[in-house]
Amino acid sequence: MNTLDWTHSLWFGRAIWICATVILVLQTAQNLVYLLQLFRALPEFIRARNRASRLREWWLLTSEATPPITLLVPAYNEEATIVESLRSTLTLRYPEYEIIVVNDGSKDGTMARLIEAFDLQPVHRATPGRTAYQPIRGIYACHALPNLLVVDKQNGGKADALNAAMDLAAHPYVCAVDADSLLDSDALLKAVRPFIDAPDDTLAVGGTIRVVNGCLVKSGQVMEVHPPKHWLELFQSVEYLRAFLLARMAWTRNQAVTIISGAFGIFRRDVLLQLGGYAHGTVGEDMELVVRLHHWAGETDSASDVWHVPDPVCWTEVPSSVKVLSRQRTRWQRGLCETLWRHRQMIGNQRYGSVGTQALPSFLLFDIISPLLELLGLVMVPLCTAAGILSIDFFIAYCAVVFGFGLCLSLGAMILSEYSLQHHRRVRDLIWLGVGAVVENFGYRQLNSWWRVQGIWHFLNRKQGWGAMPRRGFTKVA
Amino acid sequence: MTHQVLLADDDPLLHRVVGFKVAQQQWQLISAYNGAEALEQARLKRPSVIIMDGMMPVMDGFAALRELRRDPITASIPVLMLSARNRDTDVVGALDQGANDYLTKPFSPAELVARVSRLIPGGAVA
Amino acid sequence: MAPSLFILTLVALALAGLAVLMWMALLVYRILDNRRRDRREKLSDEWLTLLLPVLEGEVELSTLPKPRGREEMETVLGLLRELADRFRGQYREDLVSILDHIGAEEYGLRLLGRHRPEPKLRGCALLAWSGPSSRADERLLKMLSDSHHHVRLEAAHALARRNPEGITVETVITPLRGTPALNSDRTRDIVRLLAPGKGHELGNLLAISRNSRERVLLLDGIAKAGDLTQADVVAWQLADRDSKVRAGAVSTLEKLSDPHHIQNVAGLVSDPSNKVRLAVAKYAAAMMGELTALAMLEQLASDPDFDVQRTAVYGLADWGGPSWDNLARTAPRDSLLLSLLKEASSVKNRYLDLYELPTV
Repeated sequence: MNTLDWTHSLWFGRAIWICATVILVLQTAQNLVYLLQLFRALPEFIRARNRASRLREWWLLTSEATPPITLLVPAYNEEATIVESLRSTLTLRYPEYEIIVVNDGSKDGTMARLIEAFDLQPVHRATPGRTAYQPIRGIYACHALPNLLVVDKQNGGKADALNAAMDLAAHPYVCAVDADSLLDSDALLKAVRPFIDAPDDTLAVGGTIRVVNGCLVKSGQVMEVHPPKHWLELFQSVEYLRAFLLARMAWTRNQAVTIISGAFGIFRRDVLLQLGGYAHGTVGEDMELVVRLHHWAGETDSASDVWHVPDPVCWTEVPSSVKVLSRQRTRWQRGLCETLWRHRQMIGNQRYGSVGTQALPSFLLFDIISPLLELLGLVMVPLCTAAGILSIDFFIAYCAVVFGFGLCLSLGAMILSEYSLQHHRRVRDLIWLGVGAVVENFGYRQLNSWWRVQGIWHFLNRKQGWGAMPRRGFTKVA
Repeated sequence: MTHQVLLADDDPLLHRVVGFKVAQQQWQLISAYNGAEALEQARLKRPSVIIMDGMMPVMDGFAALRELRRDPITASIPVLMLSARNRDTDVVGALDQGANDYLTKPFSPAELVARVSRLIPGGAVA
Repeated sequence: MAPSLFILTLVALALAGLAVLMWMALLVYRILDNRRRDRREKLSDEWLTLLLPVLEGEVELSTLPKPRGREEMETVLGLLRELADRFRGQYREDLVSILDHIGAEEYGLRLLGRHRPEPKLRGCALLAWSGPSSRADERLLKMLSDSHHHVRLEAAHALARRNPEGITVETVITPLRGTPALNSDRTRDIVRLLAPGKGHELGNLLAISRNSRERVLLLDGIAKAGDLTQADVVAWQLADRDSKVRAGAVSTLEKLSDPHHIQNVAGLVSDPSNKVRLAVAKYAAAMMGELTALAMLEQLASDPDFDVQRTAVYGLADWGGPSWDNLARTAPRDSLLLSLLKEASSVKNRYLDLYELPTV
């Protein structure tokens, strides 16, 4: 009896030890990859810093080579902000652009506000239906602003609204913009550069998304940039620099960017129409579209450059309550899972270049598998150390890896982007941001992993739902 | 009596340059940085001429123009519209809505002054 | 096992420590940079006060001081650029003489002599803008063979803007051949800037060019030059293998308003490329209601590509007549065409006060 107990615990202990080592090694590897990304992004940032020359922006503004762009603005229940944000959009510095606002069956007074503020008149426009979307109820134009078109349609979700706008767009490039976010006035001008430098090879360009909470906004324009005062928003502010900006800058080196935020991205219209526009039935339509672009380019052997340009900035408001944030994050994770599942044949496939061999596998490893391990480690290591199964040395090393590397990454990303893009002018803001970068490692990141795991769970649940559908024939009878 | 010229534009450098030109003519410049401010200033000070940019935050120049024309206090003040674009439809739109003259950016400051002085009621410049 | 754990711990802590140190460095950098920025803003304000009277001719240019040091020079250049951005006419011409006065050319030439590409780019952009000088032209010509293709492109653009006497399109374009720079759309601007008066050269180059991208550029240049004598060379390109060249040739003929090659263009109404058919539709719409053109438009009005279709229908709406009525009669069979017809008639109606709505 006694002997049995002893072997049992020996094997148990060994299994724990192996498991813990695997977690430690993986976490170290992951952090090292992130650090590598930091170094890979460095030259891109330096380039961005040097490029910030007004001389050439000016050239773009006056050149005939600057292509006209159609802005696609989907709006759902935005009556409080739509008019102000549209006025701000109308002051963009760009030689020629049109704006198509789509009221996606709002339940509030969005449409009435628009009609009143811009003195809209109903017009007739042919809709060829090159993309799929819900029926249009009416199309309106403004006499004084010939570059504005407003579409009123039945509710069908964001992808649906964007598709309707795309079908009506007249210019060769389209830019998807969130109605509730604010664009810097030079954003389009800076983001269009890759399309001018390599018009045949560039499929899409994304811009940097930043947190507007805490900034001084006057009449739809960001006047002064400050970090948010509240912790949760501050953490997100740092996270936007660390996770989103840094990763995309690293991938832009080999034009393998796979995420262009729905809040700001320019695409070639002819390619989007060929692909049928945004996909219905996914919560991550923005990522799905870009992965589909790469997928299409791989299939047809076309050039597939997708860029991330760091300085065109789009400002977005982030959730200030844990509840809303958790909903947002689990949805993002579900979208990521859905996209990877839809395009699973690309993962590891050389045909799709570095997107297939590097970008997508790294998503799978670091955004899907790693959060699971991270949570497991967080629970297991302290418990087992307390029970005496793992040594104190191991515990210390584990903490050093989790917090030391994490801190270095958060701060490093913050320092890099602040040095090159210079958004915050006040020293006190930089101190506060740094504090946020340090503190986010103790709680916020772990909470994030938890939401990611929840997102995976939601995804699997839904998949199960599909699997249980009778026509699929997967239902097993016990 | 010195004439007052109201400039509504969101670009501070433009205010500096136009301010300089206006001072040369012995006129007085009133500054507004968006359509709403322009309306308020126009009602309060009743300037001789309003120079208004088409694209401004809060309230664009065209909307402000409509408001100006609707209000009996300001309905008769001559308005010169500025716009970054020079498409015919814009010009037609602005003139339709009661603008008295139109200038596209970039413009020559001398031309601006010449046009403004023509709009000032009975105020040919020496 | 213990040593590896120890090393790992040490590395992680060292990295964290390093990050904190960098943070401190960033704070120091920010303080210094803020001071520099304040200084610049003050300088810029002072210079604006100095510049305005000079621009207005109230004060002689010669009384204007020269900027001292790099920082002041950059500030003044930035300010002048902002002014040029907003104003034209007398102001812009005066800005060039101010540039000369403050020694912008000397400064730009110094930038060209630097080692890294970024200063060279800025030097080229500055010289693009400063007054005529054979010294600057020569230096820019040399930059055309720089090892960085970005620098070549910027130098080509600067030369095109300066457009010195005797420069040929070939001199500027040849160094870009075989580099990614040729694919940049900036080359279109460069050729357009050089094009006026050089139709003959462009035509000759077009006749012998073996690079399809180059042919597209040259076609665009001929359109800009507006040289109708080159129309024959342009028309040869209608049979090119590259669809972009065909489209380019069609739109050049459109811009030249050339009616003589309409039959050749009409041969492209069922070209496999959407871009070519779009160009054909635009060409036909611009042909002032000529009969062949109207027939082309009628055919293109039922094109599979919507953009082509819309251009054709708008074109027919412009000219009206029997073709438009024809279309109106057949349209009810095709709901999209009918819808498009309504759209075209309402759009054109607003400003032209023309057609009756087709009866459904």
